[in-house]
Amino acid sequence: MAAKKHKATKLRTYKGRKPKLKSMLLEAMDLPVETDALTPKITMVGKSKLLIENHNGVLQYNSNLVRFLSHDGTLEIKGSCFILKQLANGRAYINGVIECISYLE
Amino acid sequence: MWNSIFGYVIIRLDGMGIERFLNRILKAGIPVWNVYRLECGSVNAEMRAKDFLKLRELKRGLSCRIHIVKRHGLPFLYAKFRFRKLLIFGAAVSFTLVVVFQARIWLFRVEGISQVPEAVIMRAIASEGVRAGAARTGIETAALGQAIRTYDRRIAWAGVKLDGIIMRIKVVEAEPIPLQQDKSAPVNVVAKKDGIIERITALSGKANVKQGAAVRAGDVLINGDITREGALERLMVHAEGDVSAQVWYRAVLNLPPTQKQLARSGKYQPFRAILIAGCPVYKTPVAYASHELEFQNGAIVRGLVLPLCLIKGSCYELTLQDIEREPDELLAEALFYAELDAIERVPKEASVLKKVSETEIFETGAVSAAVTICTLEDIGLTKAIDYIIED
Repeated sequence: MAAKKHKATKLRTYKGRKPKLKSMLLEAMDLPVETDALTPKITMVGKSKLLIENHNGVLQYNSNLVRFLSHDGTLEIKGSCFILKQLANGRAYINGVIECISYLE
Repeated sequence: MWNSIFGYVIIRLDGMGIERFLNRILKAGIPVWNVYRLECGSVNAEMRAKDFLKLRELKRGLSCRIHIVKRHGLPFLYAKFRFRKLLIFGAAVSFTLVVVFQARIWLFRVEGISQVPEAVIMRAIASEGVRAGAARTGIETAALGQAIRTYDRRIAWAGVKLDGIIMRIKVVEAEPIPLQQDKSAPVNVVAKKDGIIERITALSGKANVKQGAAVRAGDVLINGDITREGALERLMVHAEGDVSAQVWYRAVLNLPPTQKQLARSGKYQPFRAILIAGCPVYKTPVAYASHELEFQNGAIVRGLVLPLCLIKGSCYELTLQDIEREPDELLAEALFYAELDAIERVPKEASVLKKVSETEIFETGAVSAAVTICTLEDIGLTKAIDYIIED
């Protein structure tokens, strides 16, 4: 009974959801985590260019703040003079002065 | 580039729920780029023209307005000009002509020639089959340069470079070979100008004058006849050496107090002219041989509907008259021209040692200016010895 309880606590992750089979398989096969198309991948070039992949949509956008919905929570980018140079499904390329990147739970 | 070819639009999104609308666009798989928020709260974005019509469906249920700010790309350009067939035809013809003509040689530039005439180079090129209008492809520049060199002995090297529609031919001319003097002929070195000997060095022959001696043009400076007194046979050599001497150049100019100049005689006539686009269509006939025009203030009328210009003024007769001039002005002019005259006579290789200027004003008002320039130069000149062979 005690062993069962321990197993259940280990498997519960973000917002009490169970990890999907895809993630478990990727982990077992030593593949990069972002290939599951759920985990966001953030690539920053210098302090003015930012590429976000695997996001789930734009929550808020203005020239000083961009918020993206992602599988791991709300991704918040603060700065100034933001331009979304490219916006496609699951992919956003931001130009501007980036000051802070954080996740909101 | 592809967006410009297939056409794209800059749209403006106003109202509430712009982010929601953007998400709907993304879900529909429509790519947008250059999304930025304006100061008024609206968002500008760029998207493919063909995707724009899909937005109406996606907008449903949102209080968001869409406007097209600008259209870019070939489809819009075509839509704008499709009824102007002649313009499109002209553009196509121009483009074709540019493509056709830029692949040919039309201009030739020859550089570095001073002795060889340009016509010789052009003839050489033409003989090699390169003329204006020849295709650029197939011209071997290195071989052409070599070929040009063979057409004239004065060309030491020739290089050909293709620069667009221009063929640049660079030529290096060969140095002229100096004429070899016959060193066996007996000659003297004589003075070609009057002067005072500053330095004399006889390399061959016997120096006839010493430093400080005044010589006249034609005097023998280095003698080629070195026969000793009482010798049975005459001994002649080809005299050689350096002879430097001080030479004076003097120029004197006298100017009278009055000079003939064109001046107004007092006669005049009214003058009118009409110009259209700068070309005169009417002018008052002038009766004087020499005249001067003077336009009245505000006589030139411009700013009419046509490029018309009306000119009003007076035409004054000019005749040759004796004008009395100020002595200072005359003196300056006399000095200037006297100096110019003296300098013109100084050879380029001579070095100027000093210059003396003298001026004089006569009682009559006439002036005189004299400029003397002293130079140091080589005055030696080779001259054959005239002698009679005695039996």
